[in-house]
Amino acid sequence: VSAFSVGQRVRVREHNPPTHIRTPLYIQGRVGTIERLHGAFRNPEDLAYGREGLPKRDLYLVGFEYQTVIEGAPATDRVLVDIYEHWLEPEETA
Amino acid sequence: MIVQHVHSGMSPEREAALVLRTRALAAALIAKGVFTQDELKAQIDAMAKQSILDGARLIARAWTEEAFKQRLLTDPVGAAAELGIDTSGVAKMMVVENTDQIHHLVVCTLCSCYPSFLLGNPPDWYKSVSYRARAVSDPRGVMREFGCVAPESRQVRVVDSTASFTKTGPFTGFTRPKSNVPSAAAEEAGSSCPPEASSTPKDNSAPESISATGGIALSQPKWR
Repeated sequence: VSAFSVGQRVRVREHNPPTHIRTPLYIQGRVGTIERLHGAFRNPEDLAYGREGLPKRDLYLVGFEYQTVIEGAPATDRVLVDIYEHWLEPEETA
Repeated sequence: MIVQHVHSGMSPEREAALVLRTRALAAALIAKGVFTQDELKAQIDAMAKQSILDGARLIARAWTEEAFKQRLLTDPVGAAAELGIDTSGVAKMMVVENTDQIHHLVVCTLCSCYPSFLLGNPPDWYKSVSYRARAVSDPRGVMREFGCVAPESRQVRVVDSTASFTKTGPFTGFTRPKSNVPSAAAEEAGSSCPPEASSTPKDNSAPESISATGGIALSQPKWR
């Protein structure tokens, strides 16, 4: 069972360890909406160190209004980012 | 690990040094038994065979055959295999379609993830730090420099493929040619953002080099 469902509002965790990560800083702390579940993949943040990347992690496509990233951006525009489940939390718990 | 793949404008000395370093690294990996010389050559040969023409074939087929387009959108890897494209090692991929309401701009801000099996080596500008930063900070400005002016009513969706999940870079060129577009609205949309402008430029010039000569004023984005 996946942790999040399409349409759910989620917040991206803020975390910038000195290790390899796959969640860009510009999107950390922002609130977006789950647009799609890509599936479960080996975790590239673990694979980067020659390990197995297991257990597989769910990878989501998360959509954000552009204005949450860039001040004054057109209200129509969105940015969509691939984010692994361990970087997301439900909006209300933040 | 941050790897910068920017080669354009590199001095001959710098390039020679990189070639030497690459050869030394390959020799060390072969000596350690990580891979063999033959495996290295096979990999280079396989990469050399990949071509943007395969991606172009896929798009052209989707333009002319609606059923194939639907398969491409729902099962891109299967659709590519259908055309005889080597999809071994490609687990999953997502294809996005440009319409008169939505225009996509694909970027990998963290490195340069790219569907090489369909499009060959990414152009240098795609991997450049400036494209990766500006595609997010000023997507409409970057698109303008490529000759694609999206009207304000059209939603721009920047797709940041940060996680090894294959995205369809220049499939943002998935706009049907005007002659195939059934509705008048789409016809009009075509004129402000021609399909040819949203496909990958053939040369290797980075968007910023175009702006330098074209004199397009860039506003400074305000990151939140």
